[in-house]
Amino acid sequence: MHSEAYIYDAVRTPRGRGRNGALHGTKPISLVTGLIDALRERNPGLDESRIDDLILGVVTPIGDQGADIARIAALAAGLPDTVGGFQLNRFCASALEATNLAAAKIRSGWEHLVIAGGVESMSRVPIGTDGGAWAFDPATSFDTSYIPQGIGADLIATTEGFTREDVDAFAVRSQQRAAAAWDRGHFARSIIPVRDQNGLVVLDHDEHIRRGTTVETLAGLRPAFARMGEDGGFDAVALEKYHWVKDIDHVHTGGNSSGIVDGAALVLVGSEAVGRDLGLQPRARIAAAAVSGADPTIMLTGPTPATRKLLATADLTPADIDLWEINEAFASVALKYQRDFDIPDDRLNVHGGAIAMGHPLGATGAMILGTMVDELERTGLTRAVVTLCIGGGMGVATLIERV
Amino acid sequence: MESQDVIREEEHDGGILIWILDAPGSAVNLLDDAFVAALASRLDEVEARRDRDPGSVTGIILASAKESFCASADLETMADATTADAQAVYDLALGLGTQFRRLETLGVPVVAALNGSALGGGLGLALATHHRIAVDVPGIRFGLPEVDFGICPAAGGVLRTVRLLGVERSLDELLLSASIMGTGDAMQRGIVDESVEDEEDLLPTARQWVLDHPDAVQPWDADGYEFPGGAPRIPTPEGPNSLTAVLQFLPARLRSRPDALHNPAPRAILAAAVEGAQVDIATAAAIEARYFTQTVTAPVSSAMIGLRHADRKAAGPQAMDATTGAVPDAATAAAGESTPGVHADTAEVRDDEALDPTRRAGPDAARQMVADLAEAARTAARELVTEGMSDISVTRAAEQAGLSSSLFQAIEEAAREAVREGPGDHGPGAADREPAPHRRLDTDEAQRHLLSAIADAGRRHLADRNPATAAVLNIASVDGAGYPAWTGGIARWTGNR
Repeated sequence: MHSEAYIYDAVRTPRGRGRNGALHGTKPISLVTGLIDALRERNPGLDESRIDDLILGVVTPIGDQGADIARIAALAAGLPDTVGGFQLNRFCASALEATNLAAAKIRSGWEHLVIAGGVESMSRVPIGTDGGAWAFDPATSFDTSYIPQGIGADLIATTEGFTREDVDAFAVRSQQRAAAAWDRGHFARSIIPVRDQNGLVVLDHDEHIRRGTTVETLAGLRPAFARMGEDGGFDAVALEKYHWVKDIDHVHTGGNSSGIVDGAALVLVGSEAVGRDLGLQPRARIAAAAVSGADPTIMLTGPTPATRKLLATADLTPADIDLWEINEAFASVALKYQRDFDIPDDRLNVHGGAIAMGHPLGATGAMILGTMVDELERTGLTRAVVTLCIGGGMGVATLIERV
Repeated sequence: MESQDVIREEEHDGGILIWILDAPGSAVNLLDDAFVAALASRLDEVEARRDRDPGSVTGIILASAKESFCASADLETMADATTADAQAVYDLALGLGTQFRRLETLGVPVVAALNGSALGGGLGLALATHHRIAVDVPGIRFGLPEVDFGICPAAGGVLRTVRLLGVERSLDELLLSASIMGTGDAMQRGIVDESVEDEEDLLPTARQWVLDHPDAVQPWDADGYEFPGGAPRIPTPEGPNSLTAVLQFLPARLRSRPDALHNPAPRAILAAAVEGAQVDIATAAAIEARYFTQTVTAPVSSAMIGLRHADRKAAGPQAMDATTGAVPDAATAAAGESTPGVHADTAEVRDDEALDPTRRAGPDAARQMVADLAEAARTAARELVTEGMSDISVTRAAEQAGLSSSLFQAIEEAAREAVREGPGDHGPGAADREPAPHRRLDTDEAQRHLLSAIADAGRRHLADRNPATAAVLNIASVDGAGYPAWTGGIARWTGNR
């Protein structure tokens, strides 16, 4: 039986700075259980026995985040034994993938109420520590022209003609918009402070934002990927494919790339019927979702084909979209996406993004989805597209509509 | 042929066995099926004797009755091998691996008495002993040159050098560089342990070492063995070890080799080194044998063996001298050298075949041929630019094909000139915005165009006015003009690789 998939709620933790950050002493499972408690408090009618599953994206699913953290978090949060737990990994789009999967299951009629989202404590489980064939198996790496994604981001800037000034200006814009959004309370509806076992606040704001960032302050930062590209041989691997490019212009720095942070986010997705039964108010409809692969070497151009697929599925054109949200993995990624769909500046990442606030890998997709749910409500606009570029050369995109 | 003939046995006082490698009817000792059977049979005998009478065998010394110590597997057999022969090739490699492992874990000290060169699999055999003593004489050579023949070493050449020197050093100093060393260099790098000046001192020195080291084991079988430079493992929250820190760079660095995209051996060697370092020796031997089989049965190894072995044999040194009259010193030296120690029979070729006038190309003819190839390369480069490729892309295509020296220079210059003279947008940044038709993520077609155009010019030469044989043409095109070695030379290029 076909049903719409509605978003009934969306919550996230503040993002803690990765190194020496406030959340370094908080376990990832605690980030998740804190958010589950918040969903309970905010939705008094939520009959937990109606929840089918907890689906969590995690990109480095080892150590603290290993062994299906979703099921264990469900148990630790005291959800009924009948609630399942499922950890998935679509790299940087994991939490959006979790939400899309929940929506697809609900639209199929097989499930009715799912908590989806993701968690990543990058300070406790560093990126890359789960190994993998792509970077660490020489035969695979060689055959598939593996390069680290920062070099892909620099290659995008080179082929698109984005200068260091362009990407730094985008970073400043991210910082300014994120700070303004906090100042005006635009994140208030979805931020759930992280508390310790005594109920004391550990962190109640995004810790990574650097107010007062200017193009001048960013100009002093050293390119992050130049040495790796030149001495490490990765530039040559990239230019083997992009043979018409003379040299890669290494424009990305720590200041115009996404920050390394800790955080979690959850979205409560359910059918129309379950919302009616439990007295939940639908906030948005998950109207369509799409995934696409792209060239793995430049790696970060997947949002464009994913979005084209998404729009085709929904039978819409870019002009029909009110708000666009792309994860700011690197400035060039967002700038290229903006160019590809001719997106007006005031419709893209209206409250800044991961350059300012950080990118807790497995959780970001649900965070920026929640930002869009809040913003559609605040502005009265109708449609938003949420997308992320993904390691290995992929993109995932989701269309939501306010109801 | 009885296996006793392949490895003769002499017994010396105190239970020391001398195993003398002496393949009947051959100038060299080859690692073939007969050798595997002979070694297995000798090992069976020793084990049976040891069980019967413990202490009756106190050590083994490997020696050779040939001028060289031991060669690799038979090159001509390997050149002929196709994927249909995969099982036989794999069985030979794994057989060698298995017997070598038995040898080093027999429980008695084993010494290699290196009276002559040990290259390729021959060095692999020496590495499976506990101590390598070499005569320090001019002309003696050690190394693993397989990569230049399009082959990943088997017989422990990868797994033992990796355990002896570490992954990075073994790759840089031996496996990927194909370095050929004399006794002094080999000792410096830890490949040879001891040297003697006179061949007469070899056996006494070996015997003394056996007596002094009754409990000898390989370093990797000793308690407390640590992998030099660290074994590959994924980074952990505690931080990466020194090898893991560079592991992801190794495949990228491999690509700076001119043959990286076409010769499957460098990739196979890197993979066998890293994958083999993560597992026990028996498993590593199987991994190594699989990569050996993959490279031996691939067409590139046939082409490269043809170029570096069969062609040199067919052309003869006289023809070689003539051919290289037109080429730089380095190429002259390279061409003058016989196949690096894999076979010792080039000397015979010199006498009978070099006198055949049809096998000789005069210096002028050779010079003319090299010039013609460069002209064909220039024309082909200009054609690619006319079709819309940038000079950067054309130059990259030449690099990726493995074209070098005068041919590469000709292409680079011609492409640059053609772009300068041609119409279109060549302003700053224009190259980065390559026109759509050539915005495909490989230069395969351009590479094929360059290689084919040059080969056509070479073959015309062969047919029309040059008395050189195809062998001379191949050697001259590679060593003289910079045609890629992985093709086996222009007469072998068929364009369908």
